[in-house]
Amino acid sequence: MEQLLKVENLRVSYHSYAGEVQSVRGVSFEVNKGETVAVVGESGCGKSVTSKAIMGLIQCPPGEIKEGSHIYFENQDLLSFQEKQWEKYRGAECSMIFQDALTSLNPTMNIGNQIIENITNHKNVTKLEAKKEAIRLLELVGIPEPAARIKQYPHELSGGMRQRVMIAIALACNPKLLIADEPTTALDVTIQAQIIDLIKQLQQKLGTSVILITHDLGVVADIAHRIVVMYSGKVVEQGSSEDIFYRPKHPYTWALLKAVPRLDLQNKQQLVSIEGMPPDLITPPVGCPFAERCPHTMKICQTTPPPTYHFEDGHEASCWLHHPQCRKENLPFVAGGGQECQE
Amino acid sequence: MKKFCLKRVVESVIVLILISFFSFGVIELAPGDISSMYISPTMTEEEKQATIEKLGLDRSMGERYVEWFKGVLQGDFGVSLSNKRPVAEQFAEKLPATILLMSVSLALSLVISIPLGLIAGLKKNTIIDRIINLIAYIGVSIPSFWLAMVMIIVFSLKLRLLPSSGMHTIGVDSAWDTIKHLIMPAFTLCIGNLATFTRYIRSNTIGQLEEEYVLTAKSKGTSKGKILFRHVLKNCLLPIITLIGMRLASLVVGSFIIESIFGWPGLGTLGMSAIQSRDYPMIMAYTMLSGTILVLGNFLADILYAFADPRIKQGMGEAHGR
Repeated sequence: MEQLLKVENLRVSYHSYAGEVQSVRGVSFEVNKGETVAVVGESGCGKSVTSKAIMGLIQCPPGEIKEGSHIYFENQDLLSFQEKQWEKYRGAECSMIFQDALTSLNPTMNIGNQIIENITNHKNVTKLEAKKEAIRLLELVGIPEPAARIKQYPHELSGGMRQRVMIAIALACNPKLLIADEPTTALDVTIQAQIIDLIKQLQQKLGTSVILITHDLGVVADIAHRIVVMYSGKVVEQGSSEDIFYRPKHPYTWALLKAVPRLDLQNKQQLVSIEGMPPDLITPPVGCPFAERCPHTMKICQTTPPPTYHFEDGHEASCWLHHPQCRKENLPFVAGGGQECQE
Repeated sequence: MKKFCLKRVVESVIVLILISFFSFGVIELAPGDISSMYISPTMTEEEKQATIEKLGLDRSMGERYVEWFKGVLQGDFGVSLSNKRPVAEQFAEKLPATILLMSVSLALSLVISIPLGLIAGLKKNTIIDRIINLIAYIGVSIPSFWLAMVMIIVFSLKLRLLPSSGMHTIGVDSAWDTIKHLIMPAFTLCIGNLATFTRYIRSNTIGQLEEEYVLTAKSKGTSKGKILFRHVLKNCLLPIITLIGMRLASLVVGSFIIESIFGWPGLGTLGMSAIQSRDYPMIMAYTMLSGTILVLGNFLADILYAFADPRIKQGMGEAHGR
């Protein structure tokens, strides 16, 4: 498969009064053409910051993208872009859907004009052609009576409809990459399923690559080809969906999977949660960031950051448990068998 | 929308009636007797009595209020006590000058404050922002009568650039002449609004720029300039509509002092002399005018707001107004 996006050692910090918050600390992953990659992790793990970096939406200051970070989009390094190049890239090559469609749409501009804006930003078309295109897009995302709807304002639509409008805006110029930053968090469960279905359908129909950012593993199960698990600004594990769900290698992924509510268990069972809090990113821990909360923690976890172990088919995890000398006892999943990556 | 308008009209009428009643009472409560302004110590008792009767002051306040109110309902604001001319006629003479001064000063304050506020908001916490803020603070704090006198001293007495008072030079009747007379009063009158508007627009701009829809616009590849003019400008000017509605009345009242200082032949000068001579039909007309402008200004602001902001219009349709 052809590679579309390659994030390499991305490090992003925010400068606050309390000190430098190292939101993203060396994230690397790839997205192939036509592929859906889910980035999962709890709040504050750096997934949104990563997506904003790919869109060039990090405000500097207070943000800072560190030296040595690279984001390659079709072999061009985005981080060397000038503002004009960014403007050409955003919306046309890569689009983004945000979490809350109500605040993400301009309240005083009708939705038609908000879609048309993206079209006229990148294509040399007449107003009428752009309007026709906007109607077509609304139809594509499943909004009934699109011709009448384009004159409506965001507050006149339901939450699900608004998110569909956001998708229509994002797809207006047939982007090669669509970043969906928690697109279903603000919606109720049935609508969530509809929106995820829609993204999946459109992705198959248009061949767009998708980065789906979420903290809900249940959402990604049937849409993602690959999953990147992030924790405190780092990628702790990544691999194909099957790898992550059936052969997870990192204790954090184990804990996440255990925390997904299950329908097949008894009613009275308590929901599982991960004890403790994620580390403070102003002074990140020296060793493994998950060591504090990990039930399998060892002495070395506290002192030395774990290397990345590679398994079959691009499945990789950063955990000392996969070190050949580690005793593998009482583990819920099979550990080991990986090859240490020479960095 | 219709129901909303109707409700507001009824409310406005009630407010105006209350204003009229209380201002009538206030004139009555003011120390001294109205008649004392029109009676001289040299008059005999009979002459004094005749004057009081002629002015209608022998009747009680209630009677006079009812009479005045009946007149107003028929469009008759009575006759001025001091010069015996109909009040409405005098107002009609002076109103155009005041409206000219008011609208020019309002337009001036908007034209200057919108770009200033936007720039300050965009360049938040930079030197440019601080300078604009400083100017705004000075503008709010300067008493307008003081500024008026300083301007007369500088531009009329020292530099001899602008005329110090009036609306026309006698014998000259050109637009340029009127503009020259207009510059100083309009500027003095606008300075307070200018400063307030600038600060409002600045904080609105900062607030709107942090809204998420700006991020969406950016992620469509919209340039900074277009984001500002297409998205942010409208959203941050909306609250200014309400502000203008509220400020309209203060422009009339503000012109009171400014018009007196610059000898502008408008309502301010008229009102000033009416108060000095306890000319209550004139004062009442004046109060009613500024009350009406205030009520009407707010009403118009609400209607305008509804047209500018789609969210409000729906709210009015569903809940029949705030």
